Amino acid sequence: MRALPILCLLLLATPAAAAGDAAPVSARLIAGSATAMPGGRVLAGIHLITADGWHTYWRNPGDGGAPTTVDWALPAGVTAGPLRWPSPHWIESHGFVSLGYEGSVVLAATLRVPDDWPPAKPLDIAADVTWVACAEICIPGATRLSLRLPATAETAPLEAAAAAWPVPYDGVAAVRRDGDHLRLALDRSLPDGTRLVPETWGHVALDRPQGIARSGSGSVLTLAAGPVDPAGRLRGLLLVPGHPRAERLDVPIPRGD
Amino acid sequence: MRPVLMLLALLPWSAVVLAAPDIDAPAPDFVGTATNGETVRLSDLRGRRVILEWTNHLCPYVGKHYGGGDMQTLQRETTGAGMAWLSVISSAPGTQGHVTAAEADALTRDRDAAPTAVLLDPEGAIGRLYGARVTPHMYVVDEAGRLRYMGAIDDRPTDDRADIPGATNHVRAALADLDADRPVGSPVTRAYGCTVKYR
Repeated sequence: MRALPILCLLLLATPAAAAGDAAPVSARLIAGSATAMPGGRVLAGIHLITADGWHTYWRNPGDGGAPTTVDWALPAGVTAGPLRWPSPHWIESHGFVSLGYEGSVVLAATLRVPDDWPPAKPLDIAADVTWVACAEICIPGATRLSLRLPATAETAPLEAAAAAWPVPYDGVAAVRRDGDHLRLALDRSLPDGTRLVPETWGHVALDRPQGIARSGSGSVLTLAAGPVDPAGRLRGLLLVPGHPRAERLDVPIPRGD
Repeated sequence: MRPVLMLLALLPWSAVVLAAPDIDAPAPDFVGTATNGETVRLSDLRGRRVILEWTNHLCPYVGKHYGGGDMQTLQRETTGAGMAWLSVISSAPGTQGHVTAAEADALTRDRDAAPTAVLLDPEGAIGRLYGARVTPHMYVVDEAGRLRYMGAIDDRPTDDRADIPGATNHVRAALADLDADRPVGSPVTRAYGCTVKYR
């Protein structure tokens, strides 16, 4: 009865890599460059290695779970840019939709090294990371990761992550309200299974089907409105089957349609 | 009220039926079975505020709020003020959090919890009626039987008990808004926790 909470406490108290077979996720900190140059940039990544059948979460986690969080601890003068999330997966299970990553993922950020950084000085980077891994059950985890540069550059996982970073939607998009639905018109022919992943929970009902219909040379994606008013803008990522990169949309919703 | 439950009972549960109810509309009526075998009908509680709490004692997020006594304190605050608190367990048999009536009563005793009743919902009918997604998922129904709040217990979506003292408890905030006869400030929030283990 109390086994799971105790397991979680162990996970919270133990470095993730040492938590043993029970931990569905192990976490490591990697860097894309071997050294820190004065005035330079280092791409750093949180590499979550997730066991088969488990997933971790995107910044909007969907109907369950919680986003992975990364809190950098950096030397004075070194700053971290925004966290770069690879395009999330649409994960359906028992009637719920989760937004996240089945399997391993790298969440990256660009660290900026100040101009006056002494060239030979080691750079100590650290991050406090929390995540939730879910399969049939959910197990939260947390750890502090650290890395000292110079270190071995690990470019391959970071390049793989970057290949799945969303890009802006390169076209024209418009949305209008239609009763309990939002109709998103896009100027491209998009295949069945195309989905909009909302940036914020509640703006789109994830457990309702999203229908794509052809309209001239474009497409109309019909979304069921969620319980929270999107307050004038529909923001999200367009997931197109077969495309590893989602496309970012930020479209005003006209009032009084 | 409308015979909503009878209608839902005819639908195949393998299909996804998780429509969230509407805020400020009449809360969907239901008849549940409490651990003492008695039936609890929501509409019989008209005239009192009702708090619905979806729960699963093995979920770490539920543990966060029970482990330090915070959920129990809220239960005593509200029931002490005449409100009804219904804890609902929608875990299907064989899934995490499913309990017998005796086990549910033992959990109430062991955790020093103070709900008005614990409803056993192993078929998930009440959970689906309310679109309960996670544990804990909280709902507040006012004296007139209208749904006034649904969502998270608080604004810190973590499993860390240390986050509770600095958090805004959404249920307390909604009740304070009702006390002051003003609209609930955040009537819908994203509930956080483990997904409800429906059949």
